[in-house]
Amino acid sequence: MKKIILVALVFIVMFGSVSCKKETQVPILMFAGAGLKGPVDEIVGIYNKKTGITINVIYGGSGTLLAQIKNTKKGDIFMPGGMEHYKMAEKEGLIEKGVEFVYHEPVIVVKKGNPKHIKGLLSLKNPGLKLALGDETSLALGPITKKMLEKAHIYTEVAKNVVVREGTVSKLVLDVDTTDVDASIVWKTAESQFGKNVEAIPIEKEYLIVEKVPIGILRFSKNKKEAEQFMNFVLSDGGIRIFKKYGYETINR
Amino acid sequence: MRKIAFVSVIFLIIFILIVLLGVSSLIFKAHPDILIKTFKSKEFLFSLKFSFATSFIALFLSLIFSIPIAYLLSNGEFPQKRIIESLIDIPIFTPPLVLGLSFLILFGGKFGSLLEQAGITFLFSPPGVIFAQFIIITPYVERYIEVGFSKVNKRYEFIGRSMGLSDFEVFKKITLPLSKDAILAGMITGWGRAISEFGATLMIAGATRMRTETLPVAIFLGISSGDMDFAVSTGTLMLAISFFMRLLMRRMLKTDVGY
Repeated sequence: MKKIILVALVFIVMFGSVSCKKETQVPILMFAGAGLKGPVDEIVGIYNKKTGITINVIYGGSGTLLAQIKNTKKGDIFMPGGMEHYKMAEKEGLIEKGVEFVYHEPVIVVKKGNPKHIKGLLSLKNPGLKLALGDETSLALGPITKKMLEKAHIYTEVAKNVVVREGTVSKLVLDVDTTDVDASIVWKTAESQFGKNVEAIPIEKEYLIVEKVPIGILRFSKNKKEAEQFMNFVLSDGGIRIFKKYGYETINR
Repeated sequence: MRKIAFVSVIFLIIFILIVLLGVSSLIFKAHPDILIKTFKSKEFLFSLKFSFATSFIALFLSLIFSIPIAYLLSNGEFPQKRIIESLIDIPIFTPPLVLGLSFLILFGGKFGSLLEQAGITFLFSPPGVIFAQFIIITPYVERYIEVGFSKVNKRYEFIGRSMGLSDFEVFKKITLPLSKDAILAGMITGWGRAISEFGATLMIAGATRMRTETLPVAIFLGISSGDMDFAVSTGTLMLAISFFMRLLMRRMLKTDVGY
């Protein structure tokens, strides 16, 4: 028995040091859409090197993040993957100030060589297709997909082909890549993540709806000045350039 | 009898095949070069160390709670026992995500700010990871130990007592050593659950890179941000490490525990 306790203690001492790292400065807490991890990690890294300020980023689906913000009243910055949950946060008075700064557009993703001959959004209603689409409430892509299908008047027909709804964009790509799902609608920015087995088909201009990415400072933030400095850094040419590198487009203001 | 054995073996083989098929398809997707690259990456090494640290602390805390509770529940019947056992089991039958959400609301409210004034922060912080694991594993650990305690022959305890040992001495010298196997089984199961805990951790501690990033959170971040190479290789490495640790724990504690 003593041996067990000893072993447990040894492990705690060995690894315990990891969790008690001290922070010299108050870190900024940011909630960011999981799909934005690429550019956000890069920007946060650069900003930390430049200023020494730590930015802790909590990644997740936009809905999850909003729930965390609402229930804890913590954090400084909110950067969800789309406007849907940002507007909800605004409506509830959680946002002090913010701005839409880049946008991304959806594409159809199919298996390499396009074996089901999908030519665009209208092809998705073809009987017998197996589709994976974004969840309509938990992720920014979901409502956009729905709006585009409604714009094309094929929503109910396409719904019959949906075999699965997913909570993240990458899982949608993965479904087309590794399962018998024929197609999905994902962000064009996810294209850099496509494996060898999938390819993108553009959506017809007349149905295309783009999604803006916002950044906002939370009302109850205790580090508003520092948060705003970081926001300005994201909005600077250097910050925008990083987003462009990952496939986002600039909003001309 | 032989027929039963034959049928059993068939089911055994089918089940192991199913498990191996799934696991191996993950492993085959992981390229050796990428595995090495991942193994050397800062993010992976952090989450490996962090996962070990948090899971062992959670297991230790869980033992501190489980042993006395198990002792109480294994000794005798009392009318409220059923209810108490059901209450302890809440974390078992509640989805970790729901459990995490409940504590997110609790810690986000008045109680949380009181804790924070006392210097304890669970929300979006490493202690939150330990807390999540602790809550999830304790019912399992407790149950294993309780079963172990109740299997100890009451006669031995009675003899010990009649020879003048105090209750604590009986517990230390008779009950505890005789239930060693059960305690170890509980520890191994508890640790395995702790290191793979995800849902409650995600809600309470948040998925923050290099801060609350356990191995499952690292895999989630990899999948969410489309870094499939990282997700697959981290998954493969986690599988290998957990498998190895499990063997090691059994070997180190020199026991043959079945669970």
